[in-house]
Amino acid sequence: MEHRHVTLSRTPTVLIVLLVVVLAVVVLVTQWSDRDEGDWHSIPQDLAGAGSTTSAPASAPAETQPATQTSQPWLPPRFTQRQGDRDRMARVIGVYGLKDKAILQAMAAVPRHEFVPASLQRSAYRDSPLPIGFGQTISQPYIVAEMTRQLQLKPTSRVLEIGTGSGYQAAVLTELTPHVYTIEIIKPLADAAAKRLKRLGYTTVRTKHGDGYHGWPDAGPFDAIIVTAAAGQIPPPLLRQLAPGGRMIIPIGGRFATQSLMLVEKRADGKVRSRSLMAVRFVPFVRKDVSAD
Amino acid sequence: MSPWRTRLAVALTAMAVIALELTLMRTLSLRLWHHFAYMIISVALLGFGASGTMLTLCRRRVFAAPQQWLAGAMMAMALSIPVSLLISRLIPLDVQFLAWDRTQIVYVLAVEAALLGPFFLAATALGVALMDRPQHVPGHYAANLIGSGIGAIVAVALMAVLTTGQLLTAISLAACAAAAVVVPWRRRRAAVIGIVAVLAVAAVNVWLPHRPVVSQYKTLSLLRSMPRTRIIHSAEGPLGRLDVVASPSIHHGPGLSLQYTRDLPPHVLMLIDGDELGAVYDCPQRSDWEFQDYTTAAAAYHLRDRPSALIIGAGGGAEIGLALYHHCPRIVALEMNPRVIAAMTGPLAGRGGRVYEAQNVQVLNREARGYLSAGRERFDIIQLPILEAFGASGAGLQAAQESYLYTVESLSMMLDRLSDRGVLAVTRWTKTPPRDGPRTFDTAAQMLRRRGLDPARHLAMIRSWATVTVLVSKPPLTQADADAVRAFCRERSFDVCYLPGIEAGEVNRWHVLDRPHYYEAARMLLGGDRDDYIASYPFAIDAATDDRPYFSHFFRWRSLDFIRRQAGRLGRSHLEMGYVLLLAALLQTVVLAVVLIVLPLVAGRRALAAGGRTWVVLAYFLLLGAGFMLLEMGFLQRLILYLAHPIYAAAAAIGSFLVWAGLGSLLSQRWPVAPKRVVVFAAAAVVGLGVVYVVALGPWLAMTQHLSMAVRFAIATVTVAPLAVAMGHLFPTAIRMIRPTHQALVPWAWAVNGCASVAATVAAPLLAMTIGFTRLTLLAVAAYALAALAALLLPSAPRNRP
Repeated sequence: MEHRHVTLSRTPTVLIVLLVVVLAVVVLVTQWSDRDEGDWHSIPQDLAGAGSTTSAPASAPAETQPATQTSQPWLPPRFTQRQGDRDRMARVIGVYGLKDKAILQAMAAVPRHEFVPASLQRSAYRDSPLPIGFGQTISQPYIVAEMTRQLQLKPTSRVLEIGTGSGYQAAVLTELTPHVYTIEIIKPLADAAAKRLKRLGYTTVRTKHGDGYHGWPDAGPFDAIIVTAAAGQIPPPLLRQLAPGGRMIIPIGGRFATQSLMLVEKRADGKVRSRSLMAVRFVPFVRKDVSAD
Repeated sequence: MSPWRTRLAVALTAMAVIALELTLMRTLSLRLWHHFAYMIISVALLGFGASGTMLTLCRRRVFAAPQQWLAGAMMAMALSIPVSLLISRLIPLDVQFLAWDRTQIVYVLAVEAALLGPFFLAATALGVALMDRPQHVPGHYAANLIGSGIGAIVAVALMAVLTTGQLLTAISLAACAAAAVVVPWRRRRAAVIGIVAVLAVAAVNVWLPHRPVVSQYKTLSLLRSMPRTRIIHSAEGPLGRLDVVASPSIHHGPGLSLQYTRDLPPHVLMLIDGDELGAVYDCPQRSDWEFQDYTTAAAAYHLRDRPSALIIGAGGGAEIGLALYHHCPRIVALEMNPRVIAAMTGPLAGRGGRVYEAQNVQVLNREARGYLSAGRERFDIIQLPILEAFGASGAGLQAAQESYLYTVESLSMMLDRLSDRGVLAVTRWTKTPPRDGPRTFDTAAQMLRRRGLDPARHLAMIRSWATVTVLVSKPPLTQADADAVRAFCRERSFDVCYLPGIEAGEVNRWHVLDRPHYYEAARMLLGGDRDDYIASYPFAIDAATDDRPYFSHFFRWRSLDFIRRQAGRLGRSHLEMGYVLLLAALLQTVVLAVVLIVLPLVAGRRALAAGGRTWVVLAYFLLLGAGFMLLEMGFLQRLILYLAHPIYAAAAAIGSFLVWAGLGSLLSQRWPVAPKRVVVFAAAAVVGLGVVYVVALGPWLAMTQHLSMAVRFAIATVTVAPLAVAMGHLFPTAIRMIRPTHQALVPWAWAVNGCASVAATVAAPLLAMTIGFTRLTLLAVAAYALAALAALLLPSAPRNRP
């Protein structure tokens, strides 16, 4: 009993010792993790490093055709790795009601797993948005497909993307037109995306590090503009750079929560109208005399 | 050891616990969003429940060396505060990703587990103290409650002068001081351990200072990723951390018409807890404010010439600029955050802050409801602009946040402050499907109906691609008014949704929706089918009231089914994260509470059942825990309106409830009657007073709403006294009653009480959203009535000494 008492009276001491040990481990872990952390937060190393000289491409293009916009037709690169995953992803997109074959083919062609951090590669074809660092995301596949569809691109369309992110949306656009211009304001993301697109063979994509608010005046006007991050304001310079008859598409909602798409159309006379494309359709109970239909 | 030494240590520990709770709420509001306030309450009380269970299981060991346990637990708590925060900081939790990534659920649990430590250890110390000799228990319990109450008030007061990091260090040192009080210094070995522990606490706080972290999905983090971003001003206070950010990448013109194609004036962005509060535009000339006239909020100024204006939420001054642009001869702007006023008139004065000191402009550091109830001045225009960030609204982050600005009662007070030609303009972000617009419209319509006015003649609604503005005119809108609204909208490509005499062909022309939803909603909400329309709508859009002031809570369970059917996996985008997090918190609390209650029951069922009537004891303490927290949370919600901000309300409610309940527990042993009678009378008093509060509290607080903050704080504190004193009798008296026959049950009762409190704390806002505060309070009263019945069946104890 005495022995038991002595042991028990030490319990608080043991608690303190345990805490100190935990503390030491935590300090070590913090110092180790601080080494990789930037001043604020860093780009995931696996994503930033993708396409660098030290890392071999996970799935090299089976066939790459350099860009020659004038002399011969553009043929985007083709990939074989995880084709089954991509086909399944395209089928899921079809479930949402998107049946446009060209869009589904584009979605089935671009290796999404090359555009996400290595730690998320297994989830690359999941029907959800994925984080790519710096508070940015790669959108849910259906949203990428639907936004692309709404642009109504032709092979001759000039399209501007605001917010390159990982470069995935630009690659999808390139499946439909070689005239893709993309701007990213966050330098590490812009640099990594430019390298990645080049490595994968999307060589016609023109990338730029800069403020998307100002658009790309030298390259405009554009037949289509896609703004990949929701904002409370439509930048006037982008409206100016939209060609008459052009279409601009913007997601509306939280950062992970695209609740609707906003389509801005510039008419031939230069006037602008917009349209809300709702993901959720509902017909509330309304008296006939009230309905404007 | 002298009981007073224990009491001092208990009071210091209790003070540290409550201060830690409030400071962690601030820390997590900055890192993530304010919903985690409930998570902290839940974690804190779970710590109490878990420690009760642990003490039940280890009671023999604890009894063998109570003083060591007391000092050890307190010292460990002091050490664990910085360690817990550091661990929680390393966990990559991002609440916005919760709906998409199951790993985030693990991260939520990991953050909770990391933060559980200090609460568990503090509760262990307090629990050990309560296992002291019976005659000391009421005094210890009182010290616990009084310390907690003081901690709540002191923490909020210190937030005005200390950073959260400094405050956390102070709390850790307070816990260390508590331990030092009870360390048996005369014993050499204990003294050595004590000195080492004190040094360890000091070292940990020096080497591991708290560094604030902000979610990478908050605006502040995004801006800092952009080139040449500078934070030009920062200030911390109880109402949040204010940052002012300058960057060439900031282009802030929320909801601006697509017809406005000129560049915006130079501006910086003001952020509260990392999210947008508004931009500060540098507009030396009146004409520089023209861009503001391209928002739907400007419509009111096109109805009245040279109006006087009241602006609710001065923020960065953009709404003041709009009023200046329209030659308003008198502009009063209310700003409740003194840090914002100090920034605008200090470091930002040369960057656009001068708008606060422009001629005709008066900025008051007042909360809107208090100002509206107090003054007599009338205005031609009252502007209630958007007070939340674009993204936060879209993600439903405000869903669980009460707002007393957008209620029937609030709009009615605003109408009272309008001149005979006055117009009230309420602006919100649009959502898909529409929610804010229809609810604002219905709230205004209900307000007009209550005043005997025909809403169809007083209301107008317009929208842009991003915002919706409801105009409420004090006199009926004239044809000239309607024409002015039409012209305003036509020039800016805004859509008219409702005007007296509107035709169906006029609507849904510029920002085209699949149906003219807003027009249909307005017509239906004004007609005889209002109730059917609201019932059939997939989201809750009925008027918000002071009794259910959750304007941004649109979720209905029916919505879930609707969203699932209509949007499939896209439906996740329509979930209100605030509400979902509350539900998740309740679910985990209930699961853990059951585990924590059942665990000791299984492990020590023979000893626990020895005295008989175990289930009565369990029911009594369960009802007491639930009733106490439901009443306190109901009161806290009422005080948010009265004291203008949740943090002040939390300090006043938590502080005063605990202090008065502490005094009640001291009083409880002095009545010269049997404890059972004390319990039954006290419970009956709580029931009676609860009913009185339901009837009289609202009018009483409204009567005194106009007084200064300090006076209101004092009134709130005194108002709660009779109820809390009565409530304070119940726990310690019942403990004394059961102790002779159910010694083993005491820590278990402590655990059951703690767990019920956790569940009630999280359930209270969910219940309030559904049934309102009045019924919530009645529910708490019912819990006390049942507790009184259970008390009649509790085993008796000897009569109190006179």
